[in-house]
Amino acid sequence: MIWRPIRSRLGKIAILALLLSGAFLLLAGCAEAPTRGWSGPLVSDNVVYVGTLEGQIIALDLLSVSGGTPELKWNKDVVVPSGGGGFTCAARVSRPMGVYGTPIVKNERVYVGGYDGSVFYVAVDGNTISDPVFQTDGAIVGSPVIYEDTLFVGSSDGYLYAVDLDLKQVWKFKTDDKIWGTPAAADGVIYIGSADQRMYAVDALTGREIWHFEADGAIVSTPLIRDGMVYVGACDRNFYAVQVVTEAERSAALVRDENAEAPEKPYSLVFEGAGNWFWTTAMAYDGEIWVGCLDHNMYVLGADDLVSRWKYETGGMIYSPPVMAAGLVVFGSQDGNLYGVDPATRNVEIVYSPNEDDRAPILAPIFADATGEVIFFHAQNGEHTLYAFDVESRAVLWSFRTDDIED
Amino acid sequence: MGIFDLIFLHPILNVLIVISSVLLGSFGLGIIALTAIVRLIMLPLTLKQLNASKQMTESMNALKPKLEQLKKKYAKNPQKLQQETMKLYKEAGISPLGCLASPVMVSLIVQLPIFLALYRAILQALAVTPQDFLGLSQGLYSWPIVNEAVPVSGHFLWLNLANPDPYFVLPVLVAATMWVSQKMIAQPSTDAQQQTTQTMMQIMMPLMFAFITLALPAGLGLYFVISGFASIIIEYFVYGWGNLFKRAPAQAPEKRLKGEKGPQVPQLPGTQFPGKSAGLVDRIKSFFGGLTSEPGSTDQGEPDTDLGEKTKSGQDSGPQEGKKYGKPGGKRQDGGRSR
Repeated sequence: MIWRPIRSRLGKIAILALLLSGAFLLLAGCAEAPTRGWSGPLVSDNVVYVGTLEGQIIALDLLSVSGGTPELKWNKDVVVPSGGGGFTCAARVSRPMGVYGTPIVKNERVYVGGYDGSVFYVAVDGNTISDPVFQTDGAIVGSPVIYEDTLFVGSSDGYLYAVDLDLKQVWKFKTDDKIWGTPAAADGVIYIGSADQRMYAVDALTGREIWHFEADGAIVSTPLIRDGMVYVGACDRNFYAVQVVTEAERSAALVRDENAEAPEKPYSLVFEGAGNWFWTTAMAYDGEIWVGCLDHNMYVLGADDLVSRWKYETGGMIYSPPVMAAGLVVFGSQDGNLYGVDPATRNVEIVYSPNEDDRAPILAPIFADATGEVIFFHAQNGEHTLYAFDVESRAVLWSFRTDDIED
Repeated sequence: MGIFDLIFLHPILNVLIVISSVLLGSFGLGIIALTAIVRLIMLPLTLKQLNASKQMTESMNALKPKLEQLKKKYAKNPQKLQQETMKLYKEAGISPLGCLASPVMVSLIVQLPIFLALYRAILQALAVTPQDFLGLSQGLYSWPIVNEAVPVSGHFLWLNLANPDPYFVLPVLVAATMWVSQKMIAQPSTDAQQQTTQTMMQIMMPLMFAFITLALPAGLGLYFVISGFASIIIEYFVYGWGNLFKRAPAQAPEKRLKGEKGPQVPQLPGTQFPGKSAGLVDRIKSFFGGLTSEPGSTDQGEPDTDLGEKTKSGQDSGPQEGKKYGKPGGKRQDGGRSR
C-alpha cells in the first residue's frame, strides 16, 4: 500500500530525468559528434607511421601487403585520449583525437606530439618508447618539426618549445594564445603562427623573438617559406606574404635588451579575396602559390603578387595541403573526394571518389612518396581509414582501418 | 546548412561574438550580456506567458465550485459529467484545446528555439576541440569584428569557460538559482502526498542541473546561472517573493478517502496551476500531462478542498467527517449509507 505511490513518484521523476537527459543530448548536438581529426601519415624506409584516434602510433609494413591490407608491424599506446569526459559527451561538439600531428622520423625514432600535451618518440622497430615523455601544459594539435637536431613544437599552452632529440628542453618561447599550427624552419629561424593573431620569427638557437607579423585574425596555419618570402594564411580570411628574416634583423634581435619588445614586421603582399579562413599550409609550384581555404576553394595565386589566377570550388572545406603527384596538384576536401589538377591546363579531375558508405572528410596532410605517383591519405569520420592511392592509375592500392586495431 | 542554423543559431552565434569583442574581448561578459539581452527581448512573451497562466488559474478557481457541483450531480454518469464539464469550460471561455492553444504554449514554442540556439551558440563559440573550431568557421559571418575575435578567450574570473568549474561554484549557483526560482512560484499544497512530490521536484531538478553543470564547460554553467537570476528577477516583478519565505504546510489536513474518489473530472491540459501564482514547475507538470500527480487524483495541483465537500444535507462535512466513511457501500458510523 505504501510502496505503490512511492514507486509511482520515483517512476515519474525517472521519466523526467530521462527527458531532461535527452533534451541535453539534443542541446549539445551529441548526435552530431564526429570523431574526425587530421593525423597525417609519414613514410620512411617502406614503413608508414600514423597517429590514431585512440592515441596510438602504428607502423605498417609496405613490403608486406596482402589481401589489400598492409601488415601491422607494431602499434603503441602513447597518448591518453583526453577531452573525452563530460556528461554524456554534452561538454563538446565533437570528440578529440589522441593524435592530430603527423609523425616525423629522425635517428631511427618516430617523434609525435599528442593531444594530451606530450611529445614522445617510439623507436622505428617499436621496441623502445621514450620514458619520460616531454610534457607541455596544453594540447598539441600541430606537428613537430626537426631542424638541425632540435625538435620544435607548438602547444595550446601558448609556448613554442625547442627540445633536443632526447626530449630535454632547450628553450621555450611564449606567445599570447594557443599554438595549433606547425612551425616552419629555414636559415636558423623558426616561423610559427599563434591564435594571438601573430606570426613570430624566432631564432632557432636562442629562442629570441626577431620580429612578429600581426594579422587581423588568429594564425593557425603552417607558414610556407619560399624564395625569400614567408606565406601564411589567417582567420581574418587573408593570405599574406612577409619577407623572411634578414641577417641584420637577426643580429639586432640578439643584441636587443631582453625587456624590449620585438619589432612588428609588415606584410609585403596580401590576398583578400577569400570567403573564409585559411588553415592549411600552401604549396609553391612554378611561380604560383596553391592554397586551400575553408570557403571550399583551392586558390592559385601569383607568388610575386598574390593576385588570384585561378580557383576551383569543391564540395567542402579544404584543410589538407596540396601535394604534387604524377604531374598533378592533388588535394583532398571535406567532401571526401581527391582532386587532381593539371597545373598547366587547370584541368580538374576527381581522381578518387569513394562510394557513399566510405565517404569521409580528407582533412589530414597527404603524403606523396618518393616515386611521385603514390600518395597516402587518412580519411577520418567515425571510421578512420588510411589509404595508399596510385594517382597515375587512379587505383586504391590498399586501405587500413586505423580506429579498429586490436592489441 | 539547416534552416535552424540559418535563422537562429548563426545570428545568435555572431552577435554573441560581437558582444564579447565589444566587452573587452571577454566571452564571459558576452554570455552574461547576451543572456540578459535575450531575456529582455523575450520579456513581453514571458510576461504574457506568466499572466496567461495566472488568468487560467483564476478562471479555473472560479469554476471550481461549479465543477464540484457537477461532480456530485453526475457521480454515477461519467459520460454526462464529461459533457457538462466541457460545456462549462466552453461557457467560461476556456479553450478545449487547453494549453496547446493558449498563450502559454505559444510563447513557449516561440522561446524554445531561441534558447536552444543561445545554448548551442555558446557551445560552438567555445570550440572545445580543434575540429569544433574548424566547424565554427562555417557559422561565422564575414564581418571583420567576428573573425578577429576568434578563438574567444576562455578565461573569465577563476574560470576557463571551455572546461568545467574546478571549484564547483557554478553548479552550486545553478542549483541555488533554480531552487529559488521554483520556490518563488510554487504554491504549497495541502495534500501531503502532492506536497512531498512538489518538494522532491524542487530539490531534484536543481540537483540534476547542478550535476550536469559539474561536467559541462563553465560557459554553459554561466548561462544557466544568469538565466536563473533573470527568471528570479522577472518572477519577482510579477509575483514578488511569492512563496520563497513561506514554509510548506507542516501537516496536510487529511488524505483523500477511497470512498470519495468518484468519477474522473476531465482535466484540461494546462489548467492545474495551483492558486494564484502558477509557475514553471506547474507548467512543467501540465506540459507532461500531470506527470507529478498521483494516479486517480482528479484535482491535481489544486488545494484539496474537496475533502470538505458538502453532504446531501448541504452541511459542510469538514475534513474530520471524512474519517467516518469506510469502503464504498459500507456502513457509516452515523448509520447513513455511504454514497
